[in-house]
Amino acid sequence: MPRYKRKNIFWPAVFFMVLFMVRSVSAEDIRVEGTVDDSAIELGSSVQFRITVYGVQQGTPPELPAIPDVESHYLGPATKVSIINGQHSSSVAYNYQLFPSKTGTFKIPAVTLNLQGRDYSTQPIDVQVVDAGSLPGAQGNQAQGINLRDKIFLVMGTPKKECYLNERIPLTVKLFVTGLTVKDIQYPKIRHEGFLMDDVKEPRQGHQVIGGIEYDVIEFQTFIYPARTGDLSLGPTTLVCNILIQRNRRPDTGFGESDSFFGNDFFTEFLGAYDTHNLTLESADLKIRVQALPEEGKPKGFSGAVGQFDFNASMGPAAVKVGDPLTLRMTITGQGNLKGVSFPALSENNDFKFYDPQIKDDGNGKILEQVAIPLNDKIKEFPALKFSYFDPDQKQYKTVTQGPFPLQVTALPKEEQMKVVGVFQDNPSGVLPEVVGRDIGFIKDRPGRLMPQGGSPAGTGTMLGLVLITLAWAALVLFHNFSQRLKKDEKFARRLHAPGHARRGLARARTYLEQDNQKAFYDTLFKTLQKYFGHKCHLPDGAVNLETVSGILKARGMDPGLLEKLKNVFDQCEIVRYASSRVDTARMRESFRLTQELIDDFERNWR
Amino acid sequence: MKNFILGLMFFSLLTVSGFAGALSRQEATTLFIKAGLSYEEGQFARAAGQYQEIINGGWESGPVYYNLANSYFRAGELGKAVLNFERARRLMPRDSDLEANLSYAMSLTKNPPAVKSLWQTFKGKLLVSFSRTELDVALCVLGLVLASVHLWSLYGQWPGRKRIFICGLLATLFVLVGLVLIGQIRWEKNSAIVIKDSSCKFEPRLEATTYFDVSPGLRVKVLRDFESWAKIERPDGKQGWIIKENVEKI
Repeated sequence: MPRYKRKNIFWPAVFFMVLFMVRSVSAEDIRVEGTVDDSAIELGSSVQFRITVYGVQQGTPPELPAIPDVESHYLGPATKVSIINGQHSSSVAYNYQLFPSKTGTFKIPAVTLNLQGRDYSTQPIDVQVVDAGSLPGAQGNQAQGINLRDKIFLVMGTPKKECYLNERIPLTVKLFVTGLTVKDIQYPKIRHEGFLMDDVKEPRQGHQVIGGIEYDVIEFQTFIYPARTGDLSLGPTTLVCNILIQRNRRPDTGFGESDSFFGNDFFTEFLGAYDTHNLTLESADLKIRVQALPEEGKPKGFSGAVGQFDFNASMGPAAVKVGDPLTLRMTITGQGNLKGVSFPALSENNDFKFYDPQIKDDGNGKILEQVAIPLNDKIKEFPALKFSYFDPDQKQYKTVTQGPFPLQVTALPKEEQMKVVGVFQDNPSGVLPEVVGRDIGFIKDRPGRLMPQGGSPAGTGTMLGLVLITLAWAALVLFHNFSQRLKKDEKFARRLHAPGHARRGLARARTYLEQDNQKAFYDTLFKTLQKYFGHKCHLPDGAVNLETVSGILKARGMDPGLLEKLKNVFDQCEIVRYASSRVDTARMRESFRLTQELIDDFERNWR
Repeated sequence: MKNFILGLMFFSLLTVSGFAGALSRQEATTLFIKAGLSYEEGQFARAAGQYQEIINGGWESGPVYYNLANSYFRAGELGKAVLNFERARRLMPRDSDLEANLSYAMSLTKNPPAVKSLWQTFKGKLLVSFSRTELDVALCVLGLVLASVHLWSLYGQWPGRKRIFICGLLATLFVLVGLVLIGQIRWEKNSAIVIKDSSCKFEPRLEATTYFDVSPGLRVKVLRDFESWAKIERPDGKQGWIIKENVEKI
């Protein structure tokens, strides 16, 4: 059979349409089909036999071979040109009417046509002829008594009845229709417990001959992936549609409604000759045995990929500095459970830091892009990446290795060293913040220093201490000030010392009095007074005499009686000291007493 | 005079020997241990009662109030827990466990954190950073040092500037410590903690209009008392009347 080169659809279609319009032969494949409108008829009725030649637009009607006990009449040709799913097709149908003359089964033999130098043959078709009245509603295609199961049915199928876990299995659901007008076809609902299923694709239309009857076929395709092992049941599948059933149908001549799949005779519908019936079709279920993947030979990094895959990886740039980003790109393409496929995992280590990968699925495969940061300049390569999968056709595991990828990493000068940014930005140590709980701490196990309640003894003691300290300090300061004054203020010091000197002088005088030493007594008495008033009035000793002292005392407002007393004592001392008179002890005592009183009086009254 | 001295000695003996009231020091210590065992067994209410008995017996210490606060916390009485944490802080101001527990307890209260200026925050931290005893002793010591240094400067005849500088420094420190002590006394004098969810009224009567609500753990200032009511001031300055038993002085 010559091989026909596939061509782009649009322009060849136009070309073919042009060819059709000038009645030239198109370049599509030629095939021949033989079909009947009914495979069981009653005696006395006829069956229409059609030979359809696809791929041609004209030809010579073939001669039917003789069929015993069957008369045949050629009805005429019918040409059809259509564009379905973008495909241009043309056909010529040669219609025959066959009249059996007896009951039984007769075979319409294969009919051979020679087209373009080649022979094409139909398949033999058996037709059953029964007695009249044996078939329910056998005349034409009346609504009553039509066995719809023969006219429209749903078939679900897979190429495999045994498969592996997660293996990708094609699943097709076909709607077969003949002799009916179907509309409002919904997508089939497939019960797929234990399987994962892709979305059902857009349906395709076609034709198929089953038992000599041509069916229009709508095919739905998808893929299933068994999710567990064991004997699983797929389906049943249901499909909902509406069928139009003609109330008074005209004989089928090979033209018109029966040739048109989505029959839409405007006039018959307008006149209300069709009834719409909602139909729910159900397919049989499928049994599929799912095996577990073999353990023997399972690679270490196998993550469950089943199918036939290609794995590619690349890394760039090849020369970077420490801390500069590298881009790792991995792609997985092929046939299999792509959605469940995992890329080789990259774990953090001392050489590289990895960021979260970006994974895309473009329909043809999965693509991963990930940034890696080299952490030191000792790195010479990026390690190899391995992807393992199980090939169900070859029943073995396969591993694809990419890399290692040579890498040149140079260190940064110290001043240019950068920190790795990202999640570790606030943690230069690289330690992720720890999430900790919170609660109160445990009780103390020792009571500490138990104190009487209500106040600290330290408070009272402190106050007492502060008071004492203050008093002591004040005393010492005063004393210091006093000492300093004594040192610096002679007048004050002399005045302060005057009584002391006077007392000592009087004590000496008393001694002389006891000894009855009159001269020494009066000398001492005089000198005591002299010193006393000298200190009190701040006069040199030699300048102290009665006149001087009296004048000062008068100026100070002293009591005149005291001045008189002072004069008497001075006179007594003068008399004895200079006159050398002898006085008795009583007189001496009197002088001593006067002097004592005088000093005391002056001390009391000194201002 | 003799009798006075004897009386003074007797009083000193009492305070030194440790007889403060209904319990002796030894009994208080024993009760402390028992309360700790109750706490470990999970009998928090009983532990709180035992710690409170120590206090009612006339004794106190930082650990006693701390453990009492912990017991109240575990028993679900947040207000009393905060109150006793504050009392413990008077006696052991820089205890890290105490600070952590108080901070955690405060975080569980429904009271919004007080908005404070930098000075208020500093002042607050300063006033709670030292116990009364520490401030008393510090003041005493500083006073002694100041007096000693001043006298030394007087008798040592230091130059005037040197004396003024050093004594001035010491005097400033003395004054500061004194101010902190005074501040602490004033701060603690009327400070109280709300121990129950309460409504504060405009007037001291139940039928009066509620001005604001307070939650356990809130620190307030007690301004005055009136029968069974107390007038309090919130940290934000709002004043209202609250039932006295719902607030307790630190």
